[in-house]
Amino acid sequence: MRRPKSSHVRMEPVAPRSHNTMPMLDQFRSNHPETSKIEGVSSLDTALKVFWNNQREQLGNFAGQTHLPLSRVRKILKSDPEVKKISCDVPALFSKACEYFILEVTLRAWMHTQSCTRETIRRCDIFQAVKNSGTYDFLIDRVPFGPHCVTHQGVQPPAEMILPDMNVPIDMDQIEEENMMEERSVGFDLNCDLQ
Amino acid sequence: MGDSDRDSGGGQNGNNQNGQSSLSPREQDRFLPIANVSRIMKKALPANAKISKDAKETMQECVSEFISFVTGEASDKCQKEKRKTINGDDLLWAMTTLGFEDYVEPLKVYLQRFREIEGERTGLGRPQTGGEVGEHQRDAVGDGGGFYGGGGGMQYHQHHQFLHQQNHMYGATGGGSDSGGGAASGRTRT
Repeated sequence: MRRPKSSHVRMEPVAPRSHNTMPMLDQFRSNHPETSKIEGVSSLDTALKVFWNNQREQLGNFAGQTHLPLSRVRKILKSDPEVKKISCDVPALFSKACEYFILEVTLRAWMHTQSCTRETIRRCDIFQAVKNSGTYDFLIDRVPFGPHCVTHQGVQPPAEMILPDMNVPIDMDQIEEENMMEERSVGFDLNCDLQ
Repeated sequence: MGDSDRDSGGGQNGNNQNGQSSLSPREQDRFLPIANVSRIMKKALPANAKISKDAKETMQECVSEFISFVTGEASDKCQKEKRKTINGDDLLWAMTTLGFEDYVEPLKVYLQRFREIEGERTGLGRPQTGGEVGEHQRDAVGDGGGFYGGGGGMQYHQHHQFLHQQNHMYGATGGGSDSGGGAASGRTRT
């Protein structure tokens, strides 16, 4: 006899520690209705704090495992001609660091996805997350986000535009330069900055 | 005296709905497996969220750039200090310098635990660690099979070279010496 469905919450077998992400889910639910720009910034900061607190708590249940293959991390490291030798803790440390990287960038991208009232994360969401973050903007010059992101951004209503996170110290001149280089639309950039 | 415990593989599994991307085998080596990346992305999202294929592929590229970015900074520091081997503390320093302060505290805890476990493993002759079933302790043969598919002496040779390289690094750490050994440095595939 099959067990009756007692709830709509789907438990992913691949992620047995789903209870650790519940605070984050609650955070998303409570902030979902909010659409104003100020609240958007606030909910991002709050979500990030919840995220990092969760990470620290999970380390208490350390099992010595990460979800990324060390052999592949090692290959990527060795592909850099500058890298001569690495100690044995480096691939393991990067494996965990990359996990944090993926989680945080995904979280930031999801905030942008929601601001567009979508439920599917696209490449342009990652682009916006990267662009609007002081820490991750080094990726803009290195990763080919492609013309789709520019096009998508161009057709997006200005009211929904995500401005840079003002809580992060950012050089506005640099941002303007980056915008002009990427979008080649000086007028549009000015509108964006003024709003 | 080979120790391949830490050489976990990102091998295929039946639940892998996306499988590998359309990248060529050589290209694949530049990125972490898309299935692993996808799984981690989902952990940051509510149940109703979906992830497009191009978002996953973009994240693969971003991660590789992150590794290169941090490693480059750590490598520069080692060169200035006339050291040849990059270690975990160099990475933590680099992350702090590059603005990833949030990462450093949990990674310090992680690194400490990792070293404890490595110490236990070395001292006790590789006992099995309890808890999750992990790719971390996956058998090297299975790893090779999953990664390199069927046949091909070159592929096997490359895999073998990896094990050799790993043994060298492990031995160097244990012996406290960076010299000696014929381990290949720089690119493993030319």
